[in-house]
Amino acid sequence: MKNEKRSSKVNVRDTAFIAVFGALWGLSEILFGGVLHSFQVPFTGLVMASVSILIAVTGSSFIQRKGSIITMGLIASFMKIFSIGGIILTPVLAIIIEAVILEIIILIGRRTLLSICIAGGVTVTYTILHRVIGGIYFYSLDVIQILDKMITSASKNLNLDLTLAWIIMLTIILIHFLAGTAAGALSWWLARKIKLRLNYEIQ
Amino acid sequence: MRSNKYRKASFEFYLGVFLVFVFCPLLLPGDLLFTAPAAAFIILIIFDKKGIKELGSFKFWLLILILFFVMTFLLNPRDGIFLSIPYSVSNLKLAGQMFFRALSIYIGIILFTRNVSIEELVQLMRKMRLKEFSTSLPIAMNIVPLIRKNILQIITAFRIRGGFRRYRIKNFFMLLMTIFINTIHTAEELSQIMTLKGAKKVPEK
Repeated sequence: MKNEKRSSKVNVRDTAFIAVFGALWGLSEILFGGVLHSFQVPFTGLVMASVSILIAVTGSSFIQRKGSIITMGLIASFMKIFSIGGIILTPVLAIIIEAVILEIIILIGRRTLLSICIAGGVTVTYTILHRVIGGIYFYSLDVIQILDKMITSASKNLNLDLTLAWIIMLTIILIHFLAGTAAGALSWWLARKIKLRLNYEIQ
Repeated sequence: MRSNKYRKASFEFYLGVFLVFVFCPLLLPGDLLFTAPAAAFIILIIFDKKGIKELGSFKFWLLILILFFVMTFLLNPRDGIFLSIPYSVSNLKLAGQMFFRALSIYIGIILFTRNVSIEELVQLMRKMRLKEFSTSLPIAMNIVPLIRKNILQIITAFRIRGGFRRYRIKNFFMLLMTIFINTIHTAEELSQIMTLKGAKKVPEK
């Protein structure tokens, strides 16, 4: 682990870490995802994406391999298929896309705190876009219809008047971005703390 | 568990059957979802009659069905009436979809696990140039019960020691850290076992 650069070569330790953290991610998606959707908790996408970031970023900080987050995401999405919840195809695609976004931004930003925070923010904000794209492609809904539904439910949750549609939309985006940033920062802090406790080399 | 009778059928065929079982329930529109378990059941009878025994008793599935449908009397919006008891029509539809999906996935898993070994699955993924994924996926699928058990143990221990009654945020972070450290230990143990089994050497810490 010491002085070792992140490479695309495969070793046993990385495989084990990818498998275990992928399983943890998949388990959280099946358990929390199903429960939150069933109880119709507001901002379910935000919560799920934040949990995913926490697991993926913390897990990948112990893996010396490029593309580890994408592999973990693939494992989690494969496990999500076996969830019996209402609609599965869109969450499965969301997990894969979130993993790709996280991996690309973290790879470009070279795993600094700033890059992890931005990656978290962008990934969680993507859940809004995913809802719109999913609505258009899978449920043949109109963009206006989806946005109307989104703004109506958000105005209820945020206790804001419906006439302030733009402010509501911007507030939703801001909340998502800030939650993602917080999840990214928390995962970075958590990875550092765990490395200190387990005497790992801090990068 | 593997039935010798159908060993001649190619592994790719079983993979195709499994994908049909799993992806059909995902892709079929809600109104046509009832056809998925019916088709799955017919395929199971054609290719692996003995697999029917593993489906469980009729009473078990009836109980699951009743449980799914009882929920519709408890959830909102209650837009329908059955014997003067209000129930949720939208949730009834969702319950039906969930039941049919669960049944068809379960039949698919029975057919697949009875006829295809994990080694064959790994080999096919290697053919598809998914070497890393082919090794990680079976490990992940097998390690899930262990991770679940560990997390439940941690949470129980945490509750015994006071849980979130005081210093909620601090305790939440401590709980998170414990879960992650436990997961890392599991991964380390797993990598050591894999190394002992003759895989590549693990780089030093």
